Amino acid sequence: MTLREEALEDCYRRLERPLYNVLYRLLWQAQDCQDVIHDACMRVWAQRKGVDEATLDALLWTTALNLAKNRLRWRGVWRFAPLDEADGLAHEGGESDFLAARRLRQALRRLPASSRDVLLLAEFSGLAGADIASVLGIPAGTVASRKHHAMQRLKALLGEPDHA
Amino acid sequence: MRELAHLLPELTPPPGGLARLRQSLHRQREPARRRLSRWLPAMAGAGAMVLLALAWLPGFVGHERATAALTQALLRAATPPPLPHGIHVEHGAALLLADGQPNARVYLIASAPPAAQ
Repeated sequence: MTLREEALEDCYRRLERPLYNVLYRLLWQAQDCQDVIHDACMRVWAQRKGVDEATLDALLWTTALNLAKNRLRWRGVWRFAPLDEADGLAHEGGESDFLAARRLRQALRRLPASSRDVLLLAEFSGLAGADIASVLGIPAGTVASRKHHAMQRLKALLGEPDHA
Repeated sequence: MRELAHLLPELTPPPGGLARLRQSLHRQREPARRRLSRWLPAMAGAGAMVLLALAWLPGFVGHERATAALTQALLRAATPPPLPHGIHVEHGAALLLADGQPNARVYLIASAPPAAQ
């Protein structure tokens, strides 16, 4: 059971986009997101002898999310990292997009971390509920309720009408 | 179909991620000897610097010792002898002059300027 380089590269190709989208909503810095994805791959590669390719995706998700949380913790200690919310979300819309991105960031920050992670994974990862639970280390039965709660709260914070 | 597509638009990651990963994997694959050979010039330079320092150190220490001995000797020669009878000059110095009279002592007294005090 040893991870092959091609399998890791395939996994990178498959997960780069969803990982980037989830991580960006946690870190709000494009370069940080790329670094986290790269570092997560290298960490998985460092322990390749014990990695089962069948569970590679889940392992990469877990590793990347843990690394992102570590970065957020460091940012809490060293408050110097500028956020590039304008680059990532507001490409050409000018001030209104910038403000919308800022509101979204603030709304996501106000969600409980566990619900926010479930919501982002459900939106972008393509993982099933049980896999999301396994990646986040939470009971499988709570995924749907946390996602629903996070979605309602996010819509409320952003002043969106609730159609549910 | 994503439920929050209007709130959380899908972003495209910056290019170059896979190339960077491949590069890192390639670096890890490199045999240790080749990785060592990349550091060899720097290590040789550092070794040469250490040898140079070792060769230069004894001469430097000897020179410093000689200079210190000379400074001590000059200080001893320049310091006037202590005055007899417990005479002490505040903020200055005194030198007993020989005048040939048995019941009189003549001193040359110099006081230090305020800045030197």
